[in-house]
Amino acid sequence: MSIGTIIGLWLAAGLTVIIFSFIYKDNPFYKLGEHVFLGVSLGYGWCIYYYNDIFPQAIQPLTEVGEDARNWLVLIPIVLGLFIILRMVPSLAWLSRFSFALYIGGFAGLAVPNVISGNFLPQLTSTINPIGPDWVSAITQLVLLVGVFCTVVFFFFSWEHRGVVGKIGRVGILYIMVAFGASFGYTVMARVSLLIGRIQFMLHDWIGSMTGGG
Amino acid sequence: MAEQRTPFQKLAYSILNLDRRIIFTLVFVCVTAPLIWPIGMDFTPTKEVRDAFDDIEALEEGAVVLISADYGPSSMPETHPMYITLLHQCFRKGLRPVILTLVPSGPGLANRGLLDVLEMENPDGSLMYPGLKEGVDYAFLGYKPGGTAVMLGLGQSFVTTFPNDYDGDPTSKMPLFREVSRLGDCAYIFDVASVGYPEFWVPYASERENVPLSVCCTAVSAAQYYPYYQAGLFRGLVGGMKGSAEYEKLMNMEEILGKIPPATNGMDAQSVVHVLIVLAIIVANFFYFVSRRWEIQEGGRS
Repeated sequence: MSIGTIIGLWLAAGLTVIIFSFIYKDNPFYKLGEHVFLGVSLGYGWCIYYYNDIFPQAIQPLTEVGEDARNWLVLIPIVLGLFIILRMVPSLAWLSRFSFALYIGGFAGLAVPNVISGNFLPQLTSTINPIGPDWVSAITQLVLLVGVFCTVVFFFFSWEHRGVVGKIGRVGILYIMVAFGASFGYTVMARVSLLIGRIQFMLHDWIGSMTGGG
Repeated sequence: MAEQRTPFQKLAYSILNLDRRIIFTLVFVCVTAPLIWPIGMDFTPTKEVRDAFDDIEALEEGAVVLISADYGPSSMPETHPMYITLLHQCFRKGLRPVILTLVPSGPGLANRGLLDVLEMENPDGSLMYPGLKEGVDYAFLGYKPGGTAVMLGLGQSFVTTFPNDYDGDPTSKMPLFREVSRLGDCAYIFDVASVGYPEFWVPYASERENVPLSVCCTAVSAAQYYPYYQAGLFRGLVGGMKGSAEYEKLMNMEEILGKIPPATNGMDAQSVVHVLIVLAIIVANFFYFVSRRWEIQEGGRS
């Protein structure tokens, strides 16, 4: 194992302990870990954005000479991008409207047909499938249909939720509660998974590197 | 009033006012103990995971699989094992993975995972996947900002969307991209994601280019993606560390790695913590309702 890897392992393990120390109570070591994390994330983010976005998309096309001629067309998106930054200058903030108008118009034009045909309609079709062919599928389909209908009624606010509408809405609430429960259960599972991953690192990678069992 | 409490009431109130640090300690013990002394709890792969696995297994040798590694270190325990298993599956079947990432924190992890798999050795010291050439048998394109714009660009051309790969080599000179020029030429898309990109891969890539899509997501996102699986928009769904463990089991990763694979290794701890959480919910609710009854009775007396 190289010396760099060993230093990296000890740093990562130390920072893990420092961050976990917050569970006991807030302390200066936790604050240090928090600030290191923020600083490293920002620095990393800047480098990634510069070398993957700003340099190849904006600077390189304007400065490259030789085989690839300069591409002056990139000045258009660069200027539009700068207009957005000008929102910070109150007297020139209005210029950002051009950029946003182009962005929202273009994205909406792209999104509406794609999302309707590729997302909304297939989900709608699968909801209104014929019931059957076997009884298990039939029950599943019925549960789904009742759930969709009742939940949609619950979110229909033009009628007062009383009488039949109120009762259907209550069934809708039950479905929503089940969905929240499933979602929360999965969230708990995800958070536990993250803790498992960190303890796996501490046991297998860090302690394992010291005992030779990594 | 405290002097009048019975031992049972004292126990009830002490549990209801339990210091959260005791709960954290219990969770820590329940996670750590099964990782040190594995129980070996069995689990069965679910249909949604098997569907994804079977789809990849059914692809013909040489087919190109686009893997979008849209995750960062914050979700590594859930998604990274799946990414590694998927790469093993691709190389074992002779499939050609083209890997990219749409999140800025993704390229380092995805590249390290790829190198780990490429450098993996058999017990006799020989390379597990010898003779694989970058740009021929696989490609790592790295990170590109833009999300949906990148997906739409891939529908036009790999080379114009990613003129260079992660190492800076021109993709136009790679044999792989002379054969497979656009997304529509790929046989499969697999999005390993910790962010909301799977729902964008559906309309802007999979449905548009008619290329099947499977998804590995974090457990947090899994519940919201079931409708996509149920509608057939996702061919398979691998949810969280549990889904990754199921995929590892289908792939028989224990035999490939020569040790318990990471997601499978975490399943014992996951189960033990879940038992603890369920018990805590039952016990806390029981004492909560009992204490409420006592308080109502005491209120009636006074």
